[in-house]
Amino acid sequence: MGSAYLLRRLGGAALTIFAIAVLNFFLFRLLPGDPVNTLLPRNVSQAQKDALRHRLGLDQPVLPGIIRTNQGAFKVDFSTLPDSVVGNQFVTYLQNLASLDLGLSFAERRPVIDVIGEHFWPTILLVGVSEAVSIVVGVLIGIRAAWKRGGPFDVTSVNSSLVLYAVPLFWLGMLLLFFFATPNGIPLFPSQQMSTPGAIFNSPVDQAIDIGRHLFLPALTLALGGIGGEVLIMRSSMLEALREDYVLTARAKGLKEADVVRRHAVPNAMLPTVTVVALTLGYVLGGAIGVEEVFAWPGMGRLTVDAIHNQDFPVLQGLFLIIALCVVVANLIADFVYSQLDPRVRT
Amino acid sequence: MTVGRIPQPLSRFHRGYASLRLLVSNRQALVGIVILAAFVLIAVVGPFVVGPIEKPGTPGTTPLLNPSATHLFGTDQAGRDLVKLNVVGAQVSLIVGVVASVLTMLIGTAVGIVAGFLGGRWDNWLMRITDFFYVLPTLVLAVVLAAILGPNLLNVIVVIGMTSWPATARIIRSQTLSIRERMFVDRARAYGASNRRIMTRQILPNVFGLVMANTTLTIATSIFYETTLSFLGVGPHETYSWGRILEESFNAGALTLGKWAWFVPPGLSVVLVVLAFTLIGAGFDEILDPRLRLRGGPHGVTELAMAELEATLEPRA
Repeated sequence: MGSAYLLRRLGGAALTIFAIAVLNFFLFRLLPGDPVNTLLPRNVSQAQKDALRHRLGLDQPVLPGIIRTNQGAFKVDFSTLPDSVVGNQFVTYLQNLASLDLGLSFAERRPVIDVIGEHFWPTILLVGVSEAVSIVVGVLIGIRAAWKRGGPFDVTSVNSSLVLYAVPLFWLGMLLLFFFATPNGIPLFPSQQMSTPGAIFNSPVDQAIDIGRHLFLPALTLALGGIGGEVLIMRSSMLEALREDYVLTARAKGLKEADVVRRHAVPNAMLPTVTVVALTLGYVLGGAIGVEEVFAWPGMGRLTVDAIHNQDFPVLQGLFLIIALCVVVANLIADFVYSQLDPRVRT
Repeated sequence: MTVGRIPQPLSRFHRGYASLRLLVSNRQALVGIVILAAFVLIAVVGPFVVGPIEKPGTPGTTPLLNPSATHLFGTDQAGRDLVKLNVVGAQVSLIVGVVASVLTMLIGTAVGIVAGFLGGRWDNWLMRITDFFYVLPTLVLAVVLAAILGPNLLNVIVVIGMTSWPATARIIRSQTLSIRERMFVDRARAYGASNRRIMTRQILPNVFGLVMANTTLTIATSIFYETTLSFLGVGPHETYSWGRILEESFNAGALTLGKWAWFVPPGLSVVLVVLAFTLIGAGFDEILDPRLRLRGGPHGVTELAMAELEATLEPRA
């Protein structure tokens, strides 16, 4: 049964990941300046610079027959050929990627993969919790809004969704922070970081509660941002399903209205939502950058902002790769879930 | 039995006027138009009313003033009047929104029409590229690109245009697919019109309404992106925008200082303008697709969301 479908999807995802790697390589070759000057202090000798350049592979041609001067200009140089067919920066880059070597951070002077690794799970926790909340709440509201179409609940939820859709998430975070984490409002929650600095916890439960308190506001911000889209999509999808013949049949059989909705309309209306969730993940990950910055949440979003301020391009390059990878994997999972729910696509 | 007057086809002008009247008669769109008109007025007339932004360190300026009669929103960390900054912010946000959106439309419409009309290998490759960019997290790509290219107005516009065209391309492509099958396209071909001529003279005018409806939505997205890019420190550095005011207020600790007049007005402006464009876009869609008027009632927007969703999900073969 669906193994050919899955294989095709896997192949597609692999191709996308390769394309992302290629795009990533060329994007960061557009940068002006010499990374060696950024990494080393000013007063080092040319020999030391050359040694580092060699270690980073920057003395190689960029592509077969194309070199980059130390001033950053691209030049065609056929004298490097036959060697540069294999010995070029692009091949080295792909080899390094295969061994998870993403280069050295300019700011921290250690491997990029280690720096990103420390910031990976906080983002997954934040985005995971808020996506889960927004999906559950959004789908439930969407179902009810479609069911009670035109009523006050429907009108209210559609209008609030539209407004939520228009709010920049980082600004929503600033408002929540202002009202619930500073003395200007009611300071119910901590405003910074992922846990209380210097705190010693008696049990893992205490620690979890502390993290939960820190997680609450940023997760609420991102969840609110996601709910708008979920409600609108689930509602439309439900309205579509409620018009179908099988719903009429179910009603004609004399089923209770609640059963008609729950057992006949909802399962079918859920299908498009699965795909949309994966697509909105990119939106939420993007929104998480600003929200993490506002709440000083130690995730990949905050790292992105730090990397921008420090001009730490290797970290930025690594972050783009990892975040794009997360989105591709999420889409793959969504495709898989979809194929399990809807046998028609398994062809 | 009386025979009614035979309806004459409307002239282009009258068609435009008729759709404008429809747009205004749509309550949602009317709200959007009113909000937008207010902000356009602020952006155009505002600078003459409030005067230029003070240079930092000008004698007589005091930093971090609270709202008062002379400084309605107070002053920022360099003593600049926040009303003036917000007025300039309105200009920049609207300019970035419109210009970036035009760029998005140019790329998206060209890709969509060529892929949809020529089909075959063109369609295959163009849609592969489109799908690739569609899957990439747009905002993250925009942030990275803006950081690489450098933070100025032109680059921010280019970055937004280059990252947000895929959704447009998919919508225009699916519309082109249906127009391609119409009789007048066959007729043009029978006359010996070239592909290029059919695409520019037959297809383009027929997808143009959809392009306009989509433009209002992409303007909203573009303003949204500009604000976020500015907040993250990769927005235009040579001028003030709502996002940059928010960035500076956040970095100066406006939240703990309780200076709500510093960060509430620019954020609220973004919400209102984005909402206005969304509502106008929904109104446009109802005019173009009368089925939405029947189905949608007061909720045309959700039907619009679904229609766009269908268009964007469709080419997944």
